[in-house]
Amino acid sequence: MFFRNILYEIRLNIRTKEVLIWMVLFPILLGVFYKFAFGNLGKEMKAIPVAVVENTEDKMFHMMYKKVDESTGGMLDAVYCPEEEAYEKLYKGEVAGIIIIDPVDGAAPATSDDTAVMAKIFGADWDKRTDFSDISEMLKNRPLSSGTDWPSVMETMKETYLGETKISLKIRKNGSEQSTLKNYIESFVGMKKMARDLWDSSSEGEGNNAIEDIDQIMSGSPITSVPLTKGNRDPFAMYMYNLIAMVSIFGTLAAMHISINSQANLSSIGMRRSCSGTPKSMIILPGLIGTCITHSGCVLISITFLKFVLGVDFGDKLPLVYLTGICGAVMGVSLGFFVGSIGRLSEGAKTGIMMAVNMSLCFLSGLMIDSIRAMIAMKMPMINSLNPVAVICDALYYLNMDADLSRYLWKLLSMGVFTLVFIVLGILMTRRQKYASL
Amino acid sequence: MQVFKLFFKVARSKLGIAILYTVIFFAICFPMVNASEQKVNFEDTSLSLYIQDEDQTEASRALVSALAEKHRVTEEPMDQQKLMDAMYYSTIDYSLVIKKGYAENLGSVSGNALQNDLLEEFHLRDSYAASMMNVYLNEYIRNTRVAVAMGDDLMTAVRKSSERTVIDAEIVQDPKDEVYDKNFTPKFAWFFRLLMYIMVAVIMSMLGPILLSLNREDQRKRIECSPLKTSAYVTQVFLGSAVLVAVIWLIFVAGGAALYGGMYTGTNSWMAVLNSLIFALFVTMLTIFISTFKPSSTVMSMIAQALGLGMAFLCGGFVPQTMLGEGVRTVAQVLPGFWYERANDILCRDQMGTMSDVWICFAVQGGFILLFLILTIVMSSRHPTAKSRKS
Repeated sequence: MFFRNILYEIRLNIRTKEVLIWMVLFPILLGVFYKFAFGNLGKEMKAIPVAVVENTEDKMFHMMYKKVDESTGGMLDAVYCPEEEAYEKLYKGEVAGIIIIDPVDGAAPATSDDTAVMAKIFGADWDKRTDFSDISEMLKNRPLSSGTDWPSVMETMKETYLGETKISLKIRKNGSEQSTLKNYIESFVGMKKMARDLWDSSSEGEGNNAIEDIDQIMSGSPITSVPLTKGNRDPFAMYMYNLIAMVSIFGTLAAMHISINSQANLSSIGMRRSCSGTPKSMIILPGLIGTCITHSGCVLISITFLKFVLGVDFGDKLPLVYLTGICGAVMGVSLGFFVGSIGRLSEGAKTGIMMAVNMSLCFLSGLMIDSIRAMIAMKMPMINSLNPVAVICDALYYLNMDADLSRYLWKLLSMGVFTLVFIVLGILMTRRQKYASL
Repeated sequence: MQVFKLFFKVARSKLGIAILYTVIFFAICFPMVNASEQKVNFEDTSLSLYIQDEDQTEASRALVSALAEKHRVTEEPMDQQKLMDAMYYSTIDYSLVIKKGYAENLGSVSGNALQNDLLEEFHLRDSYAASMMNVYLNEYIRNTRVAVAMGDDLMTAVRKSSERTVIDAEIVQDPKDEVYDKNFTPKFAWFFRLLMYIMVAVIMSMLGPILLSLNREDQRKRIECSPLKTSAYVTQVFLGSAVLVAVIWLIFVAGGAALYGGMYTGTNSWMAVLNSLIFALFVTMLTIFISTFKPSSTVMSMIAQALGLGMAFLCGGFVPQTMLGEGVRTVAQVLPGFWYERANDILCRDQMGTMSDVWICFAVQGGFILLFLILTIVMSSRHPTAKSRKS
């Protein structure tokens, strides 16, 4: 009879179309929404669009820009334009800021009057050259004709490449893009100052290797980047973990009927069952097992859809992702059984309340806005430990990010404890009920 | 006013869910929303840094101090998992290890020493923060080396590098910008952004079941047998819906004012309030329309969640619209939520646009209301009423 009851429960669940819609269609729909809305989130960092207004010539700016652009993989997307157009772009939100290069106070705008001298050394296209290594090589290899005034050439080069300018930044609002932009410009200015100092220092000596020195110091990076994990670092993955957690916790909706249908004061089936000779354990346990089986099936379908249709990267431990889904489903069912046994509200009212509670737990876990989870983790980490949805998310997160399984197993254990507590409380609240009249 | 009274009798039984949603919504909004005025001066982003100083020399301490001047520095030892979590949750933006031999290598300015790694950084994903720090650190080290190359001793060079030239960043406003209003901040706009989802959830889960109860076959038949005119019945149902939604909307607007820190100020805040009223009317109309199909309460609940979440995800109810892909924004234009959020984003200047654009957003939402009103009338005139009359 025990196994027959399980079979009946499974049939009953499969025939309840509304529950199946919640458990299968709704998550699939939500997964598609996610994919559309956040699919590109964190995939690549956009270059910061910036307008550059050159009220005076600054060759060093171009050279630095090129160098920084190469080293950062194109972090800035500069558009050179007149001031009026730049402001228009800023007001329209097309650029994050405007870099204005002005002559220093009291000075006239710099012009390329030294073309003859520079062309003699670097060729006709000298003003197109914006690479330190290139200029350094040319300076080294091009023999100067006799009678060339070397200090004068150096002075001309200094003024051409390192002439002083005043750089300012205009933005429309505060933000990380704007701060990054400001940081870049400060870096430009710092590097230019450094280059001038180095130039002066090198020119004083006998070797005229200033540009070569600048290039040598500027080449390479003293910073090594080390990856913290081999897992999927895409923030979009967290939304998918939340989705799986949500499907799992929706087991509450599927399981509420188990306790309601076993209590005589809540349903007519409960009245009939209370009158019958069948022990409650033979009703409740098969109900729980049957619902766990059907709900786990729904969770597995959702995970399969996310993985193989939407192409979500769950790392290389897919069987454990499925296991987590099943454990979450069992926890959700046990929570539903517990909630169903509380109070005397109708199933409809309990479903409504449970829906609101479920969605709130999902919200706190980051289903809608992922930063909520971070905020709670920072200010009240205990809430994340007590939130069943967050526990499932944590398990999936640890599975993806950690090299070992220790933290994942702890979360699995937490789910086990939650399940046990909910079932024990549910049984305590449904057992040995007596009714004066029905 | 029998139907009107009945309407609110049923409404009382659905009060619990609405209160639950509302309380949770405000509890969530409270830490997220801050009605401070728009910053008119530039404010540099301060990052959370985790620094592990393996070198422990004067030069390495000087680097830590230089970073601590602008950023929040944590040096408490952390294992890799804890660090990874902190970085995943963005409580730490950038992690840096000052490697053993940092000072020695920093002072070497020739040959292979230049190629030695001095620092090790961890970051989970590419971000402006990581890029900003890399640029700063590269410049710091290069400047120090240049100073050393020019003859300074290491600590003098380090001190010179720390003295970075600061560039002024000026916030400028378009003199022709008629929408800009410092009283309606992007941060406070989060309240109205999230309000879209919560209004769909609350109005549909409260109004929906009431209308379903009134539309129940037996209930309907009893009303139709009564001497009550159909027009009076419809008017009372509409009136009941209007009063209920007005009360729900007023609660949210009043709650918003409490979060705002008093009565809303400035045109944009009031425009946002008007925007929310128009959207509330749309949700009401949509709920009335769906109820004409007489779905079960579970299906109604599912529709509410699917619509609420779907619109919020696709239309920018959880993130600003500028963060959504171009394709999503194009598709979402067929949803009224898109126009609600667009108006909201324009008003808080998260998106560029004029006041005319805001009015267009209102008009489009109004168009949706009209569309669903017509559809409701069409459906009501065709729906089982005729059938039940025959029977």
